[in-house]
Amino acid sequence: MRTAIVSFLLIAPYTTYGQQPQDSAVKGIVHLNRAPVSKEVLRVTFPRPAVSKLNNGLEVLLLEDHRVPTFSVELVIPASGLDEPADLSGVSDATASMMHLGTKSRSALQITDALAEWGGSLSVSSGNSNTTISASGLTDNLDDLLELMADVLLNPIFPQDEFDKWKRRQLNNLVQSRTTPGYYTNRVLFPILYPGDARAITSFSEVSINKLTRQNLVDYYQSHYDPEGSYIAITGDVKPKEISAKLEKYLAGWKGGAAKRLELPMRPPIGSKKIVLVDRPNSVQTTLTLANRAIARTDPDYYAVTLMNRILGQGSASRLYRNVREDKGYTYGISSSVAATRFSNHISATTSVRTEVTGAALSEMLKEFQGLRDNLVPVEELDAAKRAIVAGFALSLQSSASMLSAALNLREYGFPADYWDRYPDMLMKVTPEQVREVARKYVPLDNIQIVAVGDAAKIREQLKVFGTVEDVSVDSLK
Amino acid sequence: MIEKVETELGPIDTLVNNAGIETIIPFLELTDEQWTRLTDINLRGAWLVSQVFCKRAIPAARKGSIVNIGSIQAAKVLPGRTHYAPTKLGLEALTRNMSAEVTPLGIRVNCVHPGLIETDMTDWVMKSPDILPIVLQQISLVIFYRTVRARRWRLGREIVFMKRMMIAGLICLIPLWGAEPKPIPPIKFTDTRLPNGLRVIVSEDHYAPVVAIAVSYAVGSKDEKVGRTGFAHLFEHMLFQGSENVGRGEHTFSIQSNGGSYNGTTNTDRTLYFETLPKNQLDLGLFLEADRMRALAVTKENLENQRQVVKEERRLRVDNVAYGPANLRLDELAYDTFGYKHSVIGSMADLDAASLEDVKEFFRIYYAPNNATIAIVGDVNTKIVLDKVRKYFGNIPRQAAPRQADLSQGAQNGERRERLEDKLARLPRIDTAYRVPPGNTVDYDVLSVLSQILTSGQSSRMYQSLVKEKQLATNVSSGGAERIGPGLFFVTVTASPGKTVEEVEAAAEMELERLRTTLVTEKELLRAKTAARREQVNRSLLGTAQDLADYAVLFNDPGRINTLEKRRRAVTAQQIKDAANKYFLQSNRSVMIAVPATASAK
Repeated sequence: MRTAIVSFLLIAPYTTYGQQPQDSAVKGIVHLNRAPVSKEVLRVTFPRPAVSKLNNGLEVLLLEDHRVPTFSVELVIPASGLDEPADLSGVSDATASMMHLGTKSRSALQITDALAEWGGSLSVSSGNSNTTISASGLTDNLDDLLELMADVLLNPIFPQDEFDKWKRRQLNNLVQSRTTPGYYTNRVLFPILYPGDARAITSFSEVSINKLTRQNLVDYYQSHYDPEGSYIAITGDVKPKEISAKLEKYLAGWKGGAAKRLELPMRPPIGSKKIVLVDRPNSVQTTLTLANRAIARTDPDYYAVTLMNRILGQGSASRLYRNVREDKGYTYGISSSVAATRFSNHISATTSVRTEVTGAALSEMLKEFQGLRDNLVPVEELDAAKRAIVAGFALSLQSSASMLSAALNLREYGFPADYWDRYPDMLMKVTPEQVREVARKYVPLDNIQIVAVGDAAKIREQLKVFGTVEDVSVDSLK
Repeated sequence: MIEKVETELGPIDTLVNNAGIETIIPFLELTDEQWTRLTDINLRGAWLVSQVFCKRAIPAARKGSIVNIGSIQAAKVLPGRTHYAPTKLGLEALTRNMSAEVTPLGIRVNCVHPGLIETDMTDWVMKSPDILPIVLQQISLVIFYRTVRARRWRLGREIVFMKRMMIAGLICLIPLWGAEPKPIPPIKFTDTRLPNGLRVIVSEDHYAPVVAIAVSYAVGSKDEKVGRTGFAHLFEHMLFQGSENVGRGEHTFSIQSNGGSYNGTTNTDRTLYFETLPKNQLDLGLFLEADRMRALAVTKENLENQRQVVKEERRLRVDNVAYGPANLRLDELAYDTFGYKHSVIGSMADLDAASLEDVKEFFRIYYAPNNATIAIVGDVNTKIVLDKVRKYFGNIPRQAAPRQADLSQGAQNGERRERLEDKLARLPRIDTAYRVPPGNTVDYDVLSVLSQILTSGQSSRMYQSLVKEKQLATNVSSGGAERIGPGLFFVTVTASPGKTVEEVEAAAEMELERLRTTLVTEKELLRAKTAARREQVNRSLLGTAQDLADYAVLFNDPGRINTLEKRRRAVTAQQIKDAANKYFLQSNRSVMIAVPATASAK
């Protein structure tokens, strides 16, 4: 029986809503207030994983969940995928991709066949903050998967023939991805937001793939896949003693020096406006992305920014949605988001609109940006945003994986163990004044960075209204 | 002995090889005589008697069964059993091998291990009339010593099983071909109907303080009239635009601002609406669904707005992406029945033609309680939920049962083939559709397993040969939707740069030929079945609610959610071969080849 993790908080409403507000809490929504709404907000406490240590120093975090006979394991190595030489762009992704394509005792086919037999999965990925080896499957195959995971971690051989084939596949995939607007948006936007380091590069290019040699991968593996500071996060149908014993057994051979801890500068917002146009012939929509650098995760403004972003562009009550979609009908989808991680700090809003209304849609988006900077958000609207986030925590209790991930999040930023417990209160404290203040700091306007991907001939004039337009050709983005 | 019994009592139906002895002797003290005596009785005796029994029954074409009584110690280690345990494990192997030879001749062979660690019964055991008496007799013979945990198991009747037993507990049956994995506990639910026809399905899950609600209406694009393609999906959008007691935008606002999430989706056969909410907002969810089922409130302005939104959705998903038009065109090619021929998203012209009167009429005909199922899954109490459902939905009047779309079509006489120039694609893609049966058929499950083997994951046939080894393709995929009417099975291959359509199509065809001419391997079958197991256990509250509601509406079978693994496990290699020969024919296929429009496309 689970110990109680939820307590009903019969508090006075967080909102100053009152019982039957007559005026509209959010512009564009008609509130009849006849639907029965419970004023309670379920106050949740995320269960904390059990923490133990292996003999070789590796920390193990375990969140048990015996509802179904499956498990998932993540071995997290604090080696940033951004830690690669400028002339070897993509080596971290390549190394991660190649790990499961052959070990000392197993061929790539044997590995994939074994996984298929067990109904399991295993992958290695090189992320911005960490490198992660993930394995999941049915509990019956726990031993098998852990053993395979250890084999892939400790004994990859990067076979030349597999590498050659992998390169070919990446080049082929590159051709495919060059048809999507998102590909070009990233190719253009990230060098603008993060000039001069690996954050600028979000995908392989023909040049970077062809440059990589097998030795590059071997070297990268040897210098980055170290146990120092690594940890293992497990959720599912496993028992503590059992899992520790197995991990001890399979990872006993993992020794080595410390992976370097990467530091990258977190710069303030870019000062001057930029508008970049990428021609995608035969487009019937323009994909617009508005962005600039913004806030670090650990910044105390983060709570206010979270709420501000919710009001701006998250969900059907958001300003962008109600204006550009539900009022003007310019788009099927529009949203904003804040990227605030160890290495990223930017805010962006994106949408795809029919070609003819590119200028009009851009104008409305900027209007909403301005609105948040100039005017105080009505209390009811702010309260609805707070409630949406806080009441939504109950939904994440369904998934052990998301709760474990919340715990790992704390480790990433060095937050205290009760961070999530106090998070709702911190949100509740945010005032409309604070929202406006962070909007002025982080919602770009005069210094907006705009990337537009679409039919250049038809939209260039529409964009020129907003400033100087730079053309970037897809040929230059090979 | 056998002769004596059959002479005095008549032909034997079931032979139970129960004779066995057990002694406890430390390994280092064991003598050859002790070994031989015990093995003769426990193992040799079983095979001798079984052979005699079979030699009498088979020539007389008498069906029968043999039950070998093994022991928990076939799998478990206890001191002093180095002579005993092998005989019991040996009985298991004897069972399997005998079965392989005599079961095709009419004699079923099973093994019972009293007190085995894993003690859950398999379905077929309980339904098998000649095994059940044996099982019950065994139960009556055992003595419960010590238990570690007990679990209730429902299989048509309440029977209590002990999960861990030290000695002689309950029974596990080892079926004919290899040990089956533990059955997945079925999702329990109640299934009732209100007087106005609304079907209500409730399933409790108290793990998290969350409730998921799904409402499925038996109307989809198949029900659209000529000149009004895309209407069912446009209507789905309208259902969020307000009802008698819910203002415009208030539905989605209420859900999200109270911590919930929502969406809707339309396909050819049904329209599904759903939300996930913290459990204390159950009334909110039910109220919103009931109000819009009862009294949709739409204005010309709202319709105009959502018309534009849907047209943008079409641009996003069809007109502005590679292969978008080809995807739509293939259905037009492969189907003759109007209901399935046209796209769910609809044409721009038809979307423009939709009127407010159309909306009101559509609502009246199709959005009635007797045409819908609501499923509520989560941290709720069934009785309370049913009371609330009656309260909110009970007074919605039923409508006349809507006319069912006619989905019949004549036979496909010969291959259909089309080539389309695609202005956005950069690589050629070959999309082949074969006509296949509806979703709730055995062949649908056979084709699902076939699809797994053919294209799912890196071990699949087409990935290994076309993508990895020959590098002819960048992508391969296959499968088809679970429809109430005639289905299609797609095989889709994207050619690698520099490869011709002809060589890629030929390579794909070779893989289909392999399926037609040789049986898939046991290994491949097993992979597909394990994948199904994984799929069956991977359930969310919302997914369960959606499937319960949809399966009720589509196939009148919400219990289908509990049989996925079982159905896939039943698929044989022969069935796959037969399906390949029946459906993967040139005369039964439609081929859409999308090629980049200009040679200079990179």
